[in-house]
Amino acid sequence: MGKISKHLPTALTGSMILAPLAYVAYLYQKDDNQKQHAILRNFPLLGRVRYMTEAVGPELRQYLFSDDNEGKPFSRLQFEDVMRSAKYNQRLIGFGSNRNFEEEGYYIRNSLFPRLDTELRVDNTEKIDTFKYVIDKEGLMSRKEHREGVQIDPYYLRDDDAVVLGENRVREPFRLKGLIGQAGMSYGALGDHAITALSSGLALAGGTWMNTGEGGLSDYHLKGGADIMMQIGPGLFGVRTPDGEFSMEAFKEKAALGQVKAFEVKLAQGAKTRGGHLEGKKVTEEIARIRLIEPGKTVNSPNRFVEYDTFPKLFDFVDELREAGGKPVGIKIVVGDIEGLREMAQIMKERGSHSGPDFISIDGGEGGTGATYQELADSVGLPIMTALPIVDEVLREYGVRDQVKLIASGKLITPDKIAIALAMGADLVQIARGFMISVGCIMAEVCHTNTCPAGVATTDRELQEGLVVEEKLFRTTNYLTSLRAGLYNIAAAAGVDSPTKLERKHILFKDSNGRISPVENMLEKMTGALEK
Amino acid sequence: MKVFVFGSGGDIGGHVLKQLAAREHEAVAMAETEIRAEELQMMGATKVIVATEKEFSGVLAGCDAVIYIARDNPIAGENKNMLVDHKAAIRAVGEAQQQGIKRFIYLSPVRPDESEESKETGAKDEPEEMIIQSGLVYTVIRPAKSASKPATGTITAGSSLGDAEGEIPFEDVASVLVESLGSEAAANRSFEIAPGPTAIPEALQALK
Repeated sequence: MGKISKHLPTALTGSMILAPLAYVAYLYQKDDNQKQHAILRNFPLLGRVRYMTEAVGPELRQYLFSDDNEGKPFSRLQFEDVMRSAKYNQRLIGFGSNRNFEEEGYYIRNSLFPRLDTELRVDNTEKIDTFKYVIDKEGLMSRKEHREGVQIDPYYLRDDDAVVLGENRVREPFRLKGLIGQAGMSYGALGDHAITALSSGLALAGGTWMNTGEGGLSDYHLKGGADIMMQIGPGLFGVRTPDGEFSMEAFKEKAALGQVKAFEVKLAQGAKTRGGHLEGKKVTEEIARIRLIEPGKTVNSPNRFVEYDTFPKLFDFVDELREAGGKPVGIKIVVGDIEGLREMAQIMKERGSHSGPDFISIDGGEGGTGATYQELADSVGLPIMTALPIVDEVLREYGVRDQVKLIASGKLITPDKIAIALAMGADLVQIARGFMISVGCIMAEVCHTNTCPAGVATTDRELQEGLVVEEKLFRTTNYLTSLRAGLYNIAAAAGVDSPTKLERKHILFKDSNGRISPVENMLEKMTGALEK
Repeated sequence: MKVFVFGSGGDIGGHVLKQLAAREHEAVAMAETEIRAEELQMMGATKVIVATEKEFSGVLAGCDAVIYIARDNPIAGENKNMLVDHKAAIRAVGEAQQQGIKRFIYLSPVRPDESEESKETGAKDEPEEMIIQSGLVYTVIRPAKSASKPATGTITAGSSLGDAEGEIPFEDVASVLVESLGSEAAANRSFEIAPGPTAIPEALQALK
């Protein structure tokens, strides 16, 4: 006993020094002997710093080194704008803009005689009860804040200004008293907590819709009560027979649901101009049931609807869906092939106003969440601010613009970007990542790994514990209503009484030399450039 | 009952119009623009007079009651920043007397917890006394600080509340105004309201 108590302190101290040393020595020889990494063989141990800094790099850049306007896919300021409006229901900033005014970009032409509040065609007759955070004290290391109930204005459009999908074309047109919806996000890509929070928040805000993404209509999309736009991708998830054919029966079942307001046939999306790949281990019983596939089995979906390889065939399919479902049916495209667009417009013209899509969703090449390949995300498909005016003009050229509504998407997460898209020809705008940020996404960029630290883009039970539906849903409501309030702000500044009246003449393009040009006849400018 | 609502364009006014419509009263309101007038009608106003001038003689003809929300200057544009247009309130009282208005509900801009000095700023307490002396069947209400919050349906009411804690939701203030219309207990009475635990009809009843 005496011996032990005498030597124990020395033994402990000794092991505290020796054990780490032994471990370091072990790592050193391991690095030195392995054959995989050249850097580690040459610089055992020291080389490991590289992996550490690579791993924490995004966080370091985000929190320490990046300028406010830097950071991708969204700058810190853009991210903060979304977060601030969602959490604090607050959009005011102090001491002016941080935009780089030297760079080229689009600007809104303000009227010298803007509209007063009392001259705006807004519908704030119904209020929304929500929650926001109020900051009590801002400290260096901590922020004291509390949550309180507030009643806010919804900023709906007046009934006469509502945008109607499928007007005079379908049995049940979809009336929208707001211009902004949530773009496709599948259950599976996002967890049930995130989807439920979004559905509930969107339902509370009203005047919007929730796109299911191609992963089928899940209970969580329905749970919150939001109006649903169901997406149908080449994988035909949720509307397929066991062997992968389209199932009209399953489609009719979905179309019969009152909450399902429209369908979007997805030809392509910004980030994924490719087919999907769903790993067998991710196909749980539940996902299998929603998508109508076999549990545990890997599914590869093609990058095109196999059967529909021409516009007439595609439009036949769209017409068939509209007839069977009685609800608006649109298509989602990424623009690259202008001749293809012309062909589509020509066929729309030939087939008349009761055939073809009720709306066309145009996703910019910059759009799209989730997992994809870098080469497709970066360089396939035109960005939305180029694609949108081209589609608008091609449809006008063929006199078929009024047959369809255009829904734009691609990083349009702030009111100014949305207003510019509306002015360029969009009738509606849909957002995915902005809404992800509203429910807590911190842009960790690990959507494809199921390890999302915010519990948003993951189905992991434990990680999802972090995302409290009852807390986050109000942020979605606040974010959306803030965007709509912002649109009315911009409309007032541009001298029109509703954001539905924003046109090309309300925006300008300024190049990096300060020269301005109108955003008109983009098609002409582009074809001119191609001919040169 | 046909009720003329002054100040229907504000946060409280909108709720008043909706509640009047829900109780099948006829609500008449004023607006600065046609666009606003349309919105007030959507909220439930049966008639909206578009007036850009401060002149409103004759508008009360045929009405039974007036709800006057003094915190919102009824015809103030964004460029008119006088705190409270006490003169307009005084003119409205005169007009009400002429037209034989049976009930005059006045939401005062004076808060229970204000200092005497503050109460007199810009003569904003002046209409209160005038209404009480007018011979109209009146109700004068001083609300605690109010805010855009979800309604609770409950308040505290009393002749002098002093320093009341918390903010009272706009919608609850509107409920008090509309409830007062038909309340015997609130007739010819001046009282203060603040957030509290009592249901609004009971709180008014207890004023007797």
